[in-house]
Amino acid sequence: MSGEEVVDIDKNSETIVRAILKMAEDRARAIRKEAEERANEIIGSAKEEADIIIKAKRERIERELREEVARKRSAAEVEANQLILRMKTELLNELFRRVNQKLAAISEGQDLNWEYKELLAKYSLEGAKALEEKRVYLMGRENDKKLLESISKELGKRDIEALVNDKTIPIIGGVVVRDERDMRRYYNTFDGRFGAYKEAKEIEIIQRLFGEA
Amino acid sequence: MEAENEATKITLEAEEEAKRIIEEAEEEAKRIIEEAKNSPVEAKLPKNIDREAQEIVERAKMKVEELRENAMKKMNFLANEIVREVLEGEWGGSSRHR
Repeated sequence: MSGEEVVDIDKNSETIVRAILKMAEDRARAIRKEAEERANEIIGSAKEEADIIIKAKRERIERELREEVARKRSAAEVEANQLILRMKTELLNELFRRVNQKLAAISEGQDLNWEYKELLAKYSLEGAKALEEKRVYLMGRENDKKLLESISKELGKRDIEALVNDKTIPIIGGVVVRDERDMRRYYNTFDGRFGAYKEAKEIEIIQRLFGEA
Repeated sequence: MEAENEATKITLEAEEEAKRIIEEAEEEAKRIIEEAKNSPVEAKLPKNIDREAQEIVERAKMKVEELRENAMKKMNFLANEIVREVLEGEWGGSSRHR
């Protein structure tokens, strides 16, 4: 082997070594680059997930706040309605108390606008006619016994045999007419009439008491 | 031979570094998500809701007084009207007693 040939072989080896190292470094750069890209992806996704978490938390808190506001408003409206309802109930009871008081005054003969005996007579006749019996009994207050006796005689003139029941009933006024066997009764008491009236007209009464007109 | 060993070393080092980069990124991702989970999100009730609620009740109280005043004006007249309707209307009724 000549001296020239030895020099060529050394040069070739050096070139090969450099090429091998360059390939390795290129490969290393590619590996690092790929890792950095993957790392960026991982952090990017984490940031997106974090944004979703925060957004969901904010939406939940805002929803809870909206519910709290609605609850407070609704509680205030319920309280307001209760105030109005309580006052209406109170005044309606006061109205009914006054009506009862006035009915009691009428049956005691203290209201000169009404002739109690006429009312009793009318109610007794109405009851007797409704029962369609030959003989009826009139039941009323202890205080009304004499009035009922007198009315029973007047009914006699109309071919209705009416007797006054010994047993009295605790009512404001008016009369209960019953048949002989006490199987049927016709209630024409102030109490019963007012009860039926209230049942039928309560809504109308409320409108009249609290309405604009 | 030495060159091959050096090349292998370079590649292995790069792979180690890549592994560390990804592990650090995963740690950072966990930290970001934990921070989001624990971060305080502030939201306040509108300041005026309590005042609004109070106003609703106050308005009702005023309405109650107004209604009461108007109703009291009508009360006696209405009581007389009802007495007349109760006494003159057809409110009697029969029932089977036994």
